[in-house]
Amino acid sequence: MRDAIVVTGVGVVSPLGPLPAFWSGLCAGTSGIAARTPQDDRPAAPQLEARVRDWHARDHIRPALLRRMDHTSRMVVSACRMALTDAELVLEGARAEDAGIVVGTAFGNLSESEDFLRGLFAKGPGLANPLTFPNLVMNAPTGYVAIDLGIRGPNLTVVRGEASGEAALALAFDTIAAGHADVLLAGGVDELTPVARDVYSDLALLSPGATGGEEWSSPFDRGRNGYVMGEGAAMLVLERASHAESRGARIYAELAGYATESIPASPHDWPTVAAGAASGRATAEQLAALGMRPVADRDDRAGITLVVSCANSTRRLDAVEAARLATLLGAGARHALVTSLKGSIGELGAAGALGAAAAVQAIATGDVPRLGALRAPDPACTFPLATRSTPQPPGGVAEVLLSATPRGGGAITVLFRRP
Amino acid sequence: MNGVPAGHTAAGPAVPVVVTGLGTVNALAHSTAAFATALRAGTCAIGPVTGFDATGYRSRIAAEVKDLAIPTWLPSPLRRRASRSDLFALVAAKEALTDSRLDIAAAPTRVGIVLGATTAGMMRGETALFERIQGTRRRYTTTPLLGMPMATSADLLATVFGCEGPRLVLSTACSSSATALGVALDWIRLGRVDAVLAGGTESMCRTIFAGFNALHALALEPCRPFDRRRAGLSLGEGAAVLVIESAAHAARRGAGTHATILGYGMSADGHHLTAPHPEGVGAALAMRRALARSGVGPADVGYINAHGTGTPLNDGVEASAIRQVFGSAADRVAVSSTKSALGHTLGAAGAIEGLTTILALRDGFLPPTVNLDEPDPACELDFVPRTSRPAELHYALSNSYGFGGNNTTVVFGRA
Repeated sequence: MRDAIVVTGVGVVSPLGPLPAFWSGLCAGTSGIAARTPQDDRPAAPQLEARVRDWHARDHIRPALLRRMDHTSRMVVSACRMALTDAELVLEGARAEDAGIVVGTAFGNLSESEDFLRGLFAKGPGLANPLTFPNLVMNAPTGYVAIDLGIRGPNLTVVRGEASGEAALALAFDTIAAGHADVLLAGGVDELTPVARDVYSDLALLSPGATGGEEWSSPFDRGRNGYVMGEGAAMLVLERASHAESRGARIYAELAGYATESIPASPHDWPTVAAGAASGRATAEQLAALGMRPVADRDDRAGITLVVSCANSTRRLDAVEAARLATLLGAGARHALVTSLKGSIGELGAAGALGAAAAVQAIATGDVPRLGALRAPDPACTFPLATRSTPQPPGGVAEVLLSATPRGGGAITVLFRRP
Repeated sequence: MNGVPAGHTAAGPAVPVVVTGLGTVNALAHSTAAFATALRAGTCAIGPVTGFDATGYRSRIAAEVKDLAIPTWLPSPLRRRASRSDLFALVAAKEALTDSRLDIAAAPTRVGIVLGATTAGMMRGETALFERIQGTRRRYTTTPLLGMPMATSADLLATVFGCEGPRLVLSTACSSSATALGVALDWIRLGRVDAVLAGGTESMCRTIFAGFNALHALALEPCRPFDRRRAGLSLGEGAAVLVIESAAHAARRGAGTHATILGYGMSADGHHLTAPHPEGVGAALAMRRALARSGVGPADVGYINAHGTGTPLNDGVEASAIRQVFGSAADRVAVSSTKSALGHTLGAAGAIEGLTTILALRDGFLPPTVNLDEPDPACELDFVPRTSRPAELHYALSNSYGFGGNNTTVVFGRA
């Protein structure tokens, strides 16, 4: 039997703060969404955003390196440092030689890309900034992590739209399974940028959207009207179980595997609700092969206890997710609690990395992230939602699904399990 | 059983994997057959930039794809919406699929897609920004930016060709699509899929051109890798897509094979974001890992398709890394750079050069390093200067190194 892959450390830079505040905030249903910091000439709406807080990059990164780095790189390197500290893992010698990193991001360093082009168009090519340019590649954060930590293993960056965090975990799983590394830092990052805000606003995806009304983020709510943009980074320390055991590490959870499913969709849009309803079966089959037990059995404390869904408070995606999860959970839908972090941290391409951090904390602590903003659940949700009044699951949290359905329809579902 | 989809057992690392389909669009050619001819002829496709106004840039040359018609088989909304990068990927994938005769519809969930890319539809996005700065556009709108997310090319391939397996886009700068070929190999060996459309795509944009220009990394004349007088790289654009398949699956359907793909190795320099490690530690590590994972010894390797950008730093470090790994066997291995002919295609380079390496193995020739007049005495390897040579090859490597200090080497074998 193949060596299991386990999670031994978590590092978070988020709108709720670092890991302890992030986790207690999620469980309390607290929101990290606040008034947008005005800092550009863009049109007034939207007014809200979820900006990272209680984080100082200089606490984690040495000054000589910090000076050169962009915001996304700073978030990733900080999250890696925090994750390694949390895992009590020191990467030196042979361990560093073989350790690697996988980061998912939808847009990377989009803000400096825009600045760079502004300079180019305003001043001409002769004055384009040579110091900024290296930071514009999508893999600048992973490059900086290798420099900071001296790790020489696989150094990977993946781009998968709204499923970028899940895609990074999936690739990390395969990279360890294929024998390229025993230890990987895996997660994702995305930042708030005016360009992305304009585009999503133009697509009428942001709250309050075309219908007007209150600006807010409340996944699976009957009154939802679009999402609020967020930012952040989360990195997990993944190890072969034998590697973790040999150093006596605390094990949060097992990363049991993942499933992929292609749901018919335009390359530029989310699937339709009908496509979502029809999907989920292929994912369920793949997860069953990983030993997933769709019906939570409170007696033997096994089975799916929690789903961290990508639902982001848009009319469309939440309805697709509701239909897809109903199929995926089947008869177990009445037992598994479903939640989403987007009411607390907003929407970002790498939200799945923060979702993974929440998933392993749920398994480790037995508590669940709650939908703090929820007023009236969408009747299309045939499963119980984790609301402010939902108690901790009595048998703890045995298995967690992390579910992402990005635009373009390439769904990824990641399975975490109690070790 | 970890990570193995329903109904399939883990295949294990020894499972043979083959390449059954080839497709490319680049500055030299719009098909694999024409590309092979141009490689043998030692043609150089680097010339004056025509895709945008290059006034004010130090260097004003590049290897551009010219006169590529939008294919008639492309569904109509995509004819408008597909970015130039998307278009290259679609055309290359269509050629590879036709070549392989793979029937995707027979088992759509068993066919995956993995691409490498670094800027996707950036050019149109740049134009939108330019218009906004000039005041002709008040804010960003969606249409010119649709092609900017790099995941789009893979989503388009999935939609157009009906692939329902795993889908991924890697963006690790200039090693992106070399790693994509490797991920395809892993997916097959882990039993996730039977076949993968794997490759990379890249189209010219001002961000990249201005960035390399500002770093003084662009050569004023067509690049001359491994030459004593080399003075920088030349940018290119294009795509290559390979159909990579388990040998058993290919044999069951009677498919022809171009080459085998044996393994790949990855490493990070952990040194600097743009400059390679001065002793080539990362480059050597990637080659060593690739050879070890493939069960191939240095003496078995007849050809290395080098990263060979033409910058003073890269080529010296790469030659030294090859020496470190190959020892005395380095005297018997031919090394050449395809970038001398079709420029540095960044996210597509690993796939285009992987395809080049496959053609060398299949057709028995060494693609030349074009423009190489005075080999750098400090490099001391057989760089196949100017003209191609016949050679019977059994195993060959393709090296790809990227910004961020990440390195990938892929090992191919004769079918």
